[in-house]
Amino acid sequence: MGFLGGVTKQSAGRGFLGCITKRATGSDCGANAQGGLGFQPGNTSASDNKGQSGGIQEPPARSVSRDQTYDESGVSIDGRRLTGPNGKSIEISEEAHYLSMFHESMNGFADYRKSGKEVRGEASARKWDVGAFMDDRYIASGLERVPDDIQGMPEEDFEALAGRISDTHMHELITTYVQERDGEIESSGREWYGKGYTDFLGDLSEHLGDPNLASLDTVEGGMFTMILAATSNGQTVQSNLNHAIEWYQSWEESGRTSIMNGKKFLTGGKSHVNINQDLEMVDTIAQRLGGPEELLKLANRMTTIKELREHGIDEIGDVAGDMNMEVPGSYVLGPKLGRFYANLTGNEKELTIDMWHGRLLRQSLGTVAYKGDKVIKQTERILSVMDSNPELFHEEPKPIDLEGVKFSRNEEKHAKEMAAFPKESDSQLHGFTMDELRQSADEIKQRGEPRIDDTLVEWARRSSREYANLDFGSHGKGLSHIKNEKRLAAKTFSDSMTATNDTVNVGLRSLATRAAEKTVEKLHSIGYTGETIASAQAALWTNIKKQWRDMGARNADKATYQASLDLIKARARRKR
Amino acid sequence: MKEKQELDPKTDDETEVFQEAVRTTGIEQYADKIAKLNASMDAREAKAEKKG
Repeated sequence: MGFLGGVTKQSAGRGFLGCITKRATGSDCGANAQGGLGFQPGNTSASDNKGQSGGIQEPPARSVSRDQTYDESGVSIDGRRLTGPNGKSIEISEEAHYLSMFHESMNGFADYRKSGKEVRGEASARKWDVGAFMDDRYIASGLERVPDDIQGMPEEDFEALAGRISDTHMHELITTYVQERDGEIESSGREWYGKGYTDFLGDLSEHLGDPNLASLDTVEGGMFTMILAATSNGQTVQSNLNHAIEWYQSWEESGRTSIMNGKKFLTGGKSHVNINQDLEMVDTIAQRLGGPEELLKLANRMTTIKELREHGIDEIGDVAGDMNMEVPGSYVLGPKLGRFYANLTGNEKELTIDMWHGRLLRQSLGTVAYKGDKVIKQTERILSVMDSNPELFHEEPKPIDLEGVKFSRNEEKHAKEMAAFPKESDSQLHGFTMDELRQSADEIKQRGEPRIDDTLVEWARRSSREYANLDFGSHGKGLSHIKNEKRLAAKTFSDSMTATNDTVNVGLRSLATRAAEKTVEKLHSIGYTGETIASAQAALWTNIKKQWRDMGARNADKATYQASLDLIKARARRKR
Repeated sequence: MKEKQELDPKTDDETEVFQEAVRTTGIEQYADKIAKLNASMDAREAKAEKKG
């Protein structure tokens, strides 16, 4: 396919299911150094690579500033062979290597974006553009898409899939470690938790003049971390930190995490609804237990899934693994908040899966943008909305009718602005004909997924943009007939059509967790013995954001908590 | 709104599922369960300490 750019199509014609079956019998799918069955703990697939010169450069040794330090002078990547600090190497599968090398396709991505009519004029890509490109590239390799519903997948297949994902993780991690060693990037992100976080906390403590905040052993340090985790849902790092500082200071004054000056967090948007609920839950549990100290004690102590079940705590949902498996008490705060808090406070065995890790996982499944049956159902639904509402989906320009709308004084002012806004048409067709949209819908239904150059996708983008422009906030009451149900339906359709999948269900979590465990085992086998699930996740998180940013995706921020704090401090200095 | 609901079906995302479950239980009632769990853990630890 044309958009593949310079990437060799190494695994063409090899279906996913066939691949994992073959892998189980010793093929090259999944982690399989030396043609084995993949990585076996205690019987590593790593081979001693000392003395081999192929692909190994001689950069200066550099150690990371954590308890575990490495001599990384011999760390290298030679095609599919990854060599670690102890001189041992593993060989990742062809599929994993191909999936890891998508950033070599940058030029291909530029061409791909140009194929979209609407996208051509935009300076930056949407995340969906990147995701759709990833999915197309995945399919072009011959791999079969992995559906979200993987519960019930045969264990052998599950293990093989986790092995392939961990191979891609390994390629990304060693690449970023080498870049860090060679000074090509400032940080791989592997120190985000642990020392990275405690150093940041110390700095924040100094900035806020709050000495108790400097330690995770204090109520202040613990509660700040709890609030930081609770306000992270769907936020950029900078926004997360800004909110956390504000809410932490409010908690210090009032002892409450759910209400600030009589108000809840922010309103509007799914992530804000979730944040409000998390803050309220933290607040309510702390009150019920007798104070924040008790809440933190609970969050930091260990329990078992069995014990949680015995107390009827079924809200945590299905949890893969043994019922007697030890888990941190913070599990009761939910899968994201609980694990992120655990990681920040030093439990690095848990895997935090945020939206970026969800996308990372889906890059190895071919489902970053793919919506499956949902798209077909929604395409049918929007056609039905169009057919049953000819007053909105008409082809002749028609000015917006403001007659009969009652305006208050402020709304009147906006009505004047409004009158100038919709100059061309009130039609929801946005310049297309019904026939064109119907034809495009048929094509999407037949294909089972939208593509960047689909007419209906472009219509969806225009529809979404128009809806956003019609947001008049508190002045919009009199204009509600304009921002009506049908438009909302179009907006919802367009959002779902052109959004990435960044969520994970129980089955995908267990897959991601297994892949993370395998990744850590492989890291240890080549000498990265200090790495943990959390440190690997943090480095992968840093890396995927960089890659998506390089591909032009908006809002793939490069901030860390420390960098965000530095910005806050710089602003404070300027004010002084 | 009807169209929005039909076009935005329920998700199986783990965070959403958890939040919905807590809403269904009620945050106060959920906190009660957690308090019982905590008390049970305290009792278990106290017993273990007594045993030495």
